[in-house]
Amino acid sequence: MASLRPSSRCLLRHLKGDAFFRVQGLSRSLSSLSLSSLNSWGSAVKQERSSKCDGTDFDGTFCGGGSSNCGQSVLGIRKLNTSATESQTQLEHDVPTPAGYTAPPSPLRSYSPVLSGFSVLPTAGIPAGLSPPSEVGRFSLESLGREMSNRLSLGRLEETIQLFEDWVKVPDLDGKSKIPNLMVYNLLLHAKLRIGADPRNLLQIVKEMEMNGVKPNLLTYNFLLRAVFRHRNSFMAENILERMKKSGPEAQPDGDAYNFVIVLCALDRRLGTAMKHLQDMYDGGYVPSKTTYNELVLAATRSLRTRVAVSVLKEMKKHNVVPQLQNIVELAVAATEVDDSECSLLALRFLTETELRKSARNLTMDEGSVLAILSCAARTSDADLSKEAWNMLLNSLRDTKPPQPACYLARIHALSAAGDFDTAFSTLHEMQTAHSDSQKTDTEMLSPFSSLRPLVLACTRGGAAALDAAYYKLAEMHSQAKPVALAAINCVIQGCSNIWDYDRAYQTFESIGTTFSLIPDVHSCNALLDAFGKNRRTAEVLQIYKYMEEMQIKPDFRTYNLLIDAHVVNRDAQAALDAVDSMVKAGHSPSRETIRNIHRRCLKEGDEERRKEVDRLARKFGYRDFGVYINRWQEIGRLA
Amino acid sequence: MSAAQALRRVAAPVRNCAARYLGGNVASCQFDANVAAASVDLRGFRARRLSTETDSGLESQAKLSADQGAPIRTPPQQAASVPRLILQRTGDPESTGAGEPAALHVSPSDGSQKVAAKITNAPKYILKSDVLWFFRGCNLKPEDVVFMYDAKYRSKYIQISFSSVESCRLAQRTLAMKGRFGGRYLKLSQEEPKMDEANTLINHFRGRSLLMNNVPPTVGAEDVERFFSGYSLDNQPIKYLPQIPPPPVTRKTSATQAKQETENRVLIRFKTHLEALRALREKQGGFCSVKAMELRYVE
Repeated sequence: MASLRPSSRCLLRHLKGDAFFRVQGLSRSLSSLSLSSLNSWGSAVKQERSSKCDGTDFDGTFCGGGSSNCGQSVLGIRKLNTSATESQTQLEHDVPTPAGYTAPPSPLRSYSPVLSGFSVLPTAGIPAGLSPPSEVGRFSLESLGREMSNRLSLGRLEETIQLFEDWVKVPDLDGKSKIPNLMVYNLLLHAKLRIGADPRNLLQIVKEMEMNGVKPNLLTYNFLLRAVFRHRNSFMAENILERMKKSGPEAQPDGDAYNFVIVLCALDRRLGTAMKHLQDMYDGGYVPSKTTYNELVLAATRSLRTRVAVSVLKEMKKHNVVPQLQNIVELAVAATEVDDSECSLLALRFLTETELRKSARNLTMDEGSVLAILSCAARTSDADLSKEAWNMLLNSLRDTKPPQPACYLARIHALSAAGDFDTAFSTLHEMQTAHSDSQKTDTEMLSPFSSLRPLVLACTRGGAAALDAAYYKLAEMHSQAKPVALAAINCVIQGCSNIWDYDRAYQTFESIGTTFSLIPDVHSCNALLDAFGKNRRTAEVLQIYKYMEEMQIKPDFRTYNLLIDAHVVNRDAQAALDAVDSMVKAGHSPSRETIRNIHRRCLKEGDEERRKEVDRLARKFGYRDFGVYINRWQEIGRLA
Repeated sequence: MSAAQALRRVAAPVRNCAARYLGGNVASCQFDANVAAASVDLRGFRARRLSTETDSGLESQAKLSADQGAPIRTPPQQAASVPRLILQRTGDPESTGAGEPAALHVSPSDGSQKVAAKITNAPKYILKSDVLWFFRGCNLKPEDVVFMYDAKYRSKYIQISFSSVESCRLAQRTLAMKGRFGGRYLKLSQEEPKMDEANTLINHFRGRSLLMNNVPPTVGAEDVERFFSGYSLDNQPIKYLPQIPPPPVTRKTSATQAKQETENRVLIRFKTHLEALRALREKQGGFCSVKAMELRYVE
């Protein structure tokens, strides 16, 4: 029967305790023999345990509570676990308790004569009901322990507790109240833990224990920590850890205890204390479990402490622990919020280089997250991060559709900020071909004024030399028969206009046709207008405008704005107003800055009626009135 | 090997993980994984199941909206008694194997059964285009997908309105097939659309706006415009959102109360979504007055 097995197992464990006494007797006389046998036993036990406790799930199972039944001879040996999946070290015990709940009976096969002798005991096997209280009172400590562990292994937790209480109630043969021993206390605590008692209750029992002179051992503290873990109270857990450290060698904190405490601190987002305990754990020679590491990473991610996350990840790499996929992805994205590109890069590298590779190969990232990572790379000018993120994006999309223009632009921004113009130009060409149809609807996608402004700025940063370098690079690409995007040339023209160099701008414009055999588009003309307009070369501006009409390039709102600005620079308010009219006729409305520029020009000229007209226009387009500026200019006039 | 058998073989792993991801009608969806469009009896069986379910379990909005090009129409009043007629599939009814189940294009049978559903546990920075791409084949239009926010404008969930029950089921199958999206497992469950004040307020701004979260009270609209100079803002681009009332003073919060100033939240609308994303990319963390601004894209 199924019911037989656990109870007989329980009995066997108890007997093992007895048998151990016998073995230990042997060990004192034949030390060499016993050591080897004990060690082999220990390894067998450890092996069994490791095969069972694979997930380091110390919440519900008893793996952590299991004691090695190699008693005193293994005291003081702390095994360093290098394997990542195991977190338990062997516990030291004074008293071999029958509390080795997971230790299987297999090592005892050799002791079958012992087994057979005891197999007919009435208390073995049949799950009896509660013995009447008077009988319980007369139990010896060992038999009480046996009864309790019996009940416990059958899962009858209230009965276990009841047994204890009944036993304590009845006074001793001498009339004194009875003092349970460590084993019985541990069993009681275990039962209380399993019914989910409040940790304060358990603490009460431990206090009682100490008052009775029974020193709690590692198993006791283990139960305490589990109870506290269920209630998620990290402060209480830390207190227990402190007590453990202060107590004697039989209750020094082991890997399990540290794991509990660190995970609780991580859940409470107390990362500082968690890291301190982690360091203590390393000092003690223990290795944290996979869960501990994962929780730490998650806590660091959620509280945006990326430096902590980086250090934890490095530790994980050192100990060959594989983090969970979702934590790593979340970290990569969270690092972008604090612009920590190194952390994000480390997380992405984890995905590609470590064992996560297999599960990460099918990972589908959403473009929004990749866009966030690319933007972070752009802001921090990190080309490596942008490359990793781009690869991840291409991997996710798997050629179902080209990446979004926003992602392309972010990539170009990152590349140009890092100074890698070759890749930037080729990516630009890719974008142009991939999104050629949507360019008709959204003309601003490749405009050097808005979308490609980062590229322009990067080119401009080195002044004329950088612009020339960019131009020669483009010419080289063309001579090597690599495709050159018109947008790239537009960016160079705009760069020239940024340094107010209209000659260079014009030469580049000419070369569109001659060298690159492309046709200028509206953006090229706009950039040229900008260059000439700034320098007050109004005649050339008008010529370009005529050229646009000839080439049937449709002027966009920016063309008109630049035209008006050119007239304003030329101190010609009337022409500006005429241009505004033509703009409105074409269906665009002037921008706020343009109207304000005309307004200022009128003010400076002292042209009242035109200014009123501009005011009217401004109100027509819904811009807030410029009345405040009049006052400001009057003030300046009065002060001057 | 018939198409039905092929689909059934393909669907076996789906069934195992389907239980994890399907919110709600697990039992029914397990059957749906086996459906092949080709066999008539299966179709009839499923049609019958559909009629019982849609009448009882699902919270579908029974609207008499215009049908979307399905050839066969049943008057909805007879729906209770008569089993719904067959669903016509416009795409190739043969299975495409382990690849895209979404290659089967679905047209709704009767337009009156719209299904309102929500997606939770989506990645933080997911875009609308991502949702549409992930569920391609489920007949989703951009206006069917709405991102719902909570009072603090953090993303709560994504409200999707499917045009038919079939597309909803197809979406659930897609979820089961594709696994993680952005590192997370999305959860699809049924939910009626609940538009609260916070969400209706930003309706005009969706898709091409940024939200600035920690704007100091000294910063005015002009300063915000100056912060975003160089980007093409829309007409009347700025909207100050109503402030969150500060938490009531209790024993716990009184210590930190002094440090908390009321911060404004501002919505800024751009001309296109590309501009908004560009501003997000370039200006995230930039300083306005004395504080570093935290920007968020509002879908």
